Amino acid sequence: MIAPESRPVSKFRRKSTFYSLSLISGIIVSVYVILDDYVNKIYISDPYILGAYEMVVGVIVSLVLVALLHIPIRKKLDGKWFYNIGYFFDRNFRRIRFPQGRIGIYTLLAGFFASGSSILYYVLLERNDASVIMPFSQFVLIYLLLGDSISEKQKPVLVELQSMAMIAVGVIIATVSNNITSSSSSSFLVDIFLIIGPLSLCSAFYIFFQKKALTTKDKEGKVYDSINLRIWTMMIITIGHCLAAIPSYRNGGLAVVREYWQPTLFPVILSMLLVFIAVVFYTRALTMGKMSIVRALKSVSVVSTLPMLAIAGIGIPGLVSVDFWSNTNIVLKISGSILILIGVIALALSETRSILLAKVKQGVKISPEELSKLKGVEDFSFITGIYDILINIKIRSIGKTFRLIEKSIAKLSWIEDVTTLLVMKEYE
Amino acid sequence: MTVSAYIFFIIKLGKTQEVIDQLRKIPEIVSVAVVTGEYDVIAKVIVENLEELYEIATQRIHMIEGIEDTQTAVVEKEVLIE
Repeated sequence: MIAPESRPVSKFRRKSTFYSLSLISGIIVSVYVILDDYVNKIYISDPYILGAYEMVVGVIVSLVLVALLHIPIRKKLDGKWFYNIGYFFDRNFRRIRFPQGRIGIYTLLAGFFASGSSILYYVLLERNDASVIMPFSQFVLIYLLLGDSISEKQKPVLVELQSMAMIAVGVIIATVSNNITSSSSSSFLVDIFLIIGPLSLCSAFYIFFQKKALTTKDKEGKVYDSINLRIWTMMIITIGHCLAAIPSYRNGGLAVVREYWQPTLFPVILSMLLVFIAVVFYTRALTMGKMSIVRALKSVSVVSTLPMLAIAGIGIPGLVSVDFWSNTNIVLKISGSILILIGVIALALSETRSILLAKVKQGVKISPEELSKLKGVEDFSFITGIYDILINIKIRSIGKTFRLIEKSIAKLSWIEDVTTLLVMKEYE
Repeated sequence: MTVSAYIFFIIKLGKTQEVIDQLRKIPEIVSVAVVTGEYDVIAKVIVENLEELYEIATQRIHMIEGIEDTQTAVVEKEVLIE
């Protein structure tokens, strides 16, 4: 019998690490958005120049960090050996490698759309304060849900519609909060247009191509890793920002950077360092637990930004406007943020779980790839005993589970029989 | 190299929660699911080897009051989807 301390499953520590990584990742997001807001409001107001400046610094910071991830280390973790620090964060990471073939095309497209969403982030940051930037970023979930519904040719279920409505109304309320003192409605309409249109569409395509790049196998049958993807998309984002800032260079943009580089360098380095750490923590949390819980916990940034900005606003004059402290503004910001947070959490945690026990046909070749391609199949195991395969399914409604079994799994030529067990309660 | 296994439980009526509480005290059990259908509860176990699986099944799990029947399925290959 193995001593408890050296057992493969250290339940408490693993679980608390998972929750800590997800939550910290969300809180870090709030901190770097406030740092960006600080540099923007106090020193460099031109969003294009600020974006280009931060990205150039960001690439240098990321390259230094990636170099550190190459430090060799040999240690056993969760029953597997890892050989450098980077492998600890992403099991597919070995070294920096140039994306090739289809992975290269997907990385390029991910970088292109990430550039678009990043430029618009700085434009919106210049027009609003940090507390509403986080709610804005959640609107992309509506497009992702619509994309899923179109690709699956299925209508959204009730919880999806409720969450979409909550997020949409939350974003509108948060936008109103920043325009309460504006005499014209044009500012409000421009913000809404930028969030609903280009910002969210660019973010949705970025997520789509990022996922494509991470799930496509290369010629050797290996998948790409999130660290390499991050560094290469970062390079493309930087090129995009530098190109977008060309008109601003002519208007004395570089002179502003030259004038303020000393007081802004540290917050910019810190912001870029935190962006990288948030991405790494998020990726690491994903390898330890459910994606839905990671997403739900990370959405804490929607509400955590508001008190953090309020505290920073007390210490740094000029960071927030006088209107920020008005009762109407605070009530609207809190209401919008809470609506979005509930919408995101409801969406992330409303999935139904089922366990399928399948028997396979004798003498027919099994093709596990067919099973792994099905949407909703979380994992599956070949087992001993009266059943041959145990399939874990997670999908947003029982109706969708039925359709997955009836239209996809039962039609696989090598499956003989399926027994469905619906999970009523689960402990992990 | 660790060994994973799924244990399927049939539990006496009204004893499910008590059994789950006892199962959750066993550190090698990583997940417990209460299900509808021919079984009442499915638990996933990760151990170092089959010897340890045998010891946990016979000395810990089978000692829990309320369990009527168990079936153990050892995982030969696990496929996780990103």
